[in-house]
Amino acid sequence: MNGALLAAVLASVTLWHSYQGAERAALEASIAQANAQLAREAQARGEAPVRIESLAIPFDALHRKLETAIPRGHGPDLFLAAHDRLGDWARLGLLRPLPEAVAARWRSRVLPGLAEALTDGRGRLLAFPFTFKGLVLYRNRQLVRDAPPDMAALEALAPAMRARGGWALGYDTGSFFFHAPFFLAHGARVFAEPPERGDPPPFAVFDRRARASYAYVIGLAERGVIPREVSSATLARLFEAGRLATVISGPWFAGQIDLPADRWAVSALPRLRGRRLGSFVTVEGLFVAASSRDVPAAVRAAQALLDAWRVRARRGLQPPVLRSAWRAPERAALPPLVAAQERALAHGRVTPNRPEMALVWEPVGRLLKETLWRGEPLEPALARARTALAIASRPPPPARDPAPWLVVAGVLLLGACGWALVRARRLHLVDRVRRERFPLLMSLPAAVAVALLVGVPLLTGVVLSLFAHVDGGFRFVGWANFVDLLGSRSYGPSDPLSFWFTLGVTVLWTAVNVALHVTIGLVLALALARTGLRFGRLWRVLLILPWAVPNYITALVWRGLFDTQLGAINALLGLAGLEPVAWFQRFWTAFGANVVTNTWLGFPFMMVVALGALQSVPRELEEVARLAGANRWQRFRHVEWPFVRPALVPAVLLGSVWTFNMFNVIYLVSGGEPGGATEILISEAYKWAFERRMRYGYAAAYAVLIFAILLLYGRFVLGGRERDAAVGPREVRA
Amino acid sequence: MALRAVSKRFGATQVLDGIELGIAPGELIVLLGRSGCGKSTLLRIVAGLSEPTSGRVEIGGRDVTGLEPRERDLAMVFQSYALYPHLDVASNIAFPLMIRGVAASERRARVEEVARLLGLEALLDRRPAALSGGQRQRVAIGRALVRRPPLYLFDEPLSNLDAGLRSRMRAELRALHARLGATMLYVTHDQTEAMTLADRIVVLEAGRVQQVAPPEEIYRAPANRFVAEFVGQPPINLIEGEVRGGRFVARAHAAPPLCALPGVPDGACVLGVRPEHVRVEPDDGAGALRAEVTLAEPIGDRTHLHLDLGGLALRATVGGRDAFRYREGDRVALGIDGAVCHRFDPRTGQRVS
Repeated sequence: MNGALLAAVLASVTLWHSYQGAERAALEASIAQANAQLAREAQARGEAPVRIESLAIPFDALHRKLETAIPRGHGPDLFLAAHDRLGDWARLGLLRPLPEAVAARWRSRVLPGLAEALTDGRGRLLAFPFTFKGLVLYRNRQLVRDAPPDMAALEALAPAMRARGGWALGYDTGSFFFHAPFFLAHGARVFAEPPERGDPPPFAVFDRRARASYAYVIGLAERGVIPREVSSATLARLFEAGRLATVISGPWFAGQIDLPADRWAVSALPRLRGRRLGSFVTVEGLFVAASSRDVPAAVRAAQALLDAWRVRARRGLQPPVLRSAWRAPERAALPPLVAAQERALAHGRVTPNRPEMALVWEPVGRLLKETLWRGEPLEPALARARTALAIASRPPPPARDPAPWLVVAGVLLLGACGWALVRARRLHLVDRVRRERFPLLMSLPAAVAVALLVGVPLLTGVVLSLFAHVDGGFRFVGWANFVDLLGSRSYGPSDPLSFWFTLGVTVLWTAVNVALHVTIGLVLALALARTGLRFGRLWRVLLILPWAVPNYITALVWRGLFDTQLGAINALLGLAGLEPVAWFQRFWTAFGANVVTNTWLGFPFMMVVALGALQSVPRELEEVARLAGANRWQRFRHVEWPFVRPALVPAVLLGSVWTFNMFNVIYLVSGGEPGGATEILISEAYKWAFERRMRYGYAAAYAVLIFAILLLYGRFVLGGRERDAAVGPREVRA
Repeated sequence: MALRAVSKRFGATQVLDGIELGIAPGELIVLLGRSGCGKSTLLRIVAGLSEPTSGRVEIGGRDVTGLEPRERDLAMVFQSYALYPHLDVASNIAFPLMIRGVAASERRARVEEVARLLGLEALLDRRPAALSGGQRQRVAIGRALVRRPPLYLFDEPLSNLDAGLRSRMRAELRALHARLGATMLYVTHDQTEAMTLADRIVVLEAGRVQQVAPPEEIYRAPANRFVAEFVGQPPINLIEGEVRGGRFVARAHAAPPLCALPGVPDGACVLGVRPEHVRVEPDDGAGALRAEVTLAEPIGDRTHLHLDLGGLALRATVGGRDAFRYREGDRVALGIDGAVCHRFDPRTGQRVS
């Protein structure tokens, strides 16, 4: 490597980000401008220039890569990310706080609220504010020519929209994030010091003012201004179809609309009783990574990049953070989508980044769904939501002394070793290993793979279930997780979120599914096994097809079919003159939708197994039965079934295990709606781990119990099979 | 029962071609033919497991052509036995009764009766897998018998058994038929079974009936070259040649004539001589027909000889005191009695009386 190249490598500042499309192109253009600027500065000072090199990483992978690469020293110098994980990263030591002089200068240069969102408890600025995202109002220009100034204007639109089967305003009514404009406009806050009566500390999401915001949107729904149930996935379709005059959403919504550019427009959120609506705003920060080797160069580069904001605002539609950018005449040059987001920030607030914020989304979302979607009364729903929040925010179980546990584990381990030694001696294992060295060597890779891929995670899961995840670390709590789960400490046994209720649903779910899979699979196999069936091969291929499609794709397709507003199933019901069904608002319809989806996925496997077994039935045995006078049912019962049954027993066992843990269908079709009632154990465990404050230990306890249940079930089914093998299928006694 | 102009095609292949057959009640008819001659297809058509392309099947004077097997009131025994592996012997035998909903107590009584008849009493609670071939065969027959239908169909029931067992089962079947007095239609490719069991034999070839006759007539007066050649072990000698002045002269063998056929008009002819009708004596130099033994196959009571008569290959059977008399390379004198010979038309292959 020559000297010049080495200097160039050392002087480059790497930047990791996860932008795509126009945002990425605009970022790259602004990097080019920043590099030119850096080169000019360096020349003026007579130094070697610093260059920014960018690396785009998929959004899902960015956080993981940052958390693994930075502590090992091969992370970037700078990275771009939203502010909500700030606390975790600071604790993990991934960040370098900005030098105080730099921080002071930037605090005064940026819009109010942004620097605070990136400041830690000790008053250190942890990142440069880079841009932000807030909610804006989209309107269909054919239905609303000018931006509606206030909610009254939208209410006035409602009758005309209702006449065409639509609504004046749409937004994701089941999500707290999209409810936030109304929440904030009523003066409500997420956290209060001290909390008001009723809310668990330190929350205020169910206090008097918050309650008024919920009552307000219920009123909107009752007056037909907003649809009761609408998900973010269908908003764009309803908007395109002219059934929503306006939509509240973020900048990403612009990319989802499939309409000519002159048919829609963007403006700031309307006013409510004279007060403009603002929203929760996400701030994107430009962080200096702890792995940076040359912090002064990284800080210089970051500032140059921030100064090159114009191209990002115009081409990437990213709101700039500098106060100067929002003064005339610069302000007039900003696109409407950018300008409207600034209003969302000015009248709203940055989404709080306290760790407790993660606990708020689910209870509030549940409250909104219960009251708006299902029309349940507000007060009891509020009471339930308070309880849910209290449970979710309950402090983790107290730490236990692991010493007795270690002693017991040690004794068990010693006992197991002793037992293994005795067994080995009795079976002359040493001799056998010596004799069969080669075959054992050949199976070694597989054994190692199983040990690593099955054994280690299993053991980790079991150990994890004895811990609680507290502030990024693990605390040993002994049986506490199991006691809480099995003793229904958090929720009564009849509450949809309790372990016993979920277990009941899971067992019902498995039984109904497997029964349907076997019945449908068997009937189809019997039909296909008939010789001389026309297009037999074609049928076979068509019927196996559902199995060949990845199950999450099938699940998403069925989710779309069951959609209340736009789904094909409700459209068919409409053609037949029936009322549309809100599939995910009641337990049995939501459960039924899940079952239909999973049956579609599951019957081909049983069909293939049964078909294979049917083809092994000798033709003469059928003929003997026909000669004896057997009808179709008797032929099946006495001739085919005895052959099919032994093949179906392991298939049913497998199918039960798959269905018991069929996360994809539950997560993607009903999503646990209504109110977590259609959740099964595995999806409930997922929620505890990833949607309710990372309660990994609690989720691991679910996983251990699932494993124990399936282990017992498997022993039971296979035990029955061994008995069968001894005495054979049921006898037809003479 | 009767078959009327029954034909069956599988695509372009004509498997059965205008089969006409009438069977008297209580008769045991054997369908005899090589594999692929259509005999099993014919049996399946009678059973109703297969539909004829054209023609009618009558049972008990009733046209059953379009009826389901269960409406025909018959029982069938398969070559593979077709026992249910998951049922014990008693249940296998009782199967047709169970399907028809016969009460358990009567079922038990009938199974015991059949088991006694077939010597299966000790095996009733065994599974087929624990039985020998002969026992399985008896269970299969028991299952057919238990319902006492007027018509029984057997599809090569003995061909999976070893030789000794086969001859014993043959005798048992014959006795059974005598005892039951039922009508039986029995398919085989084995001429010994056909000869020993049948009241009448139906020889099938290429989908056509070649001859229907009692065993003796099949043997003594074969209707055509095929029947003559197919029945008889070792097979008949068929010699092409002509009759000249009351004597038969083989084409491949210039002179002297093989035998006298007094009163037969001159003309081309195929002469059929059964090996046992070739008289073999030590060569004393006087006989007109002198041959050399090319192969001797002693089987105990008799010996099959392969002879070379001046280039004409002949088979002969010697027995009794002569059973072990001749060896390969011996020269022998032959005599053929024209009166027991069969004559066939060289063009049509039909018998000429």
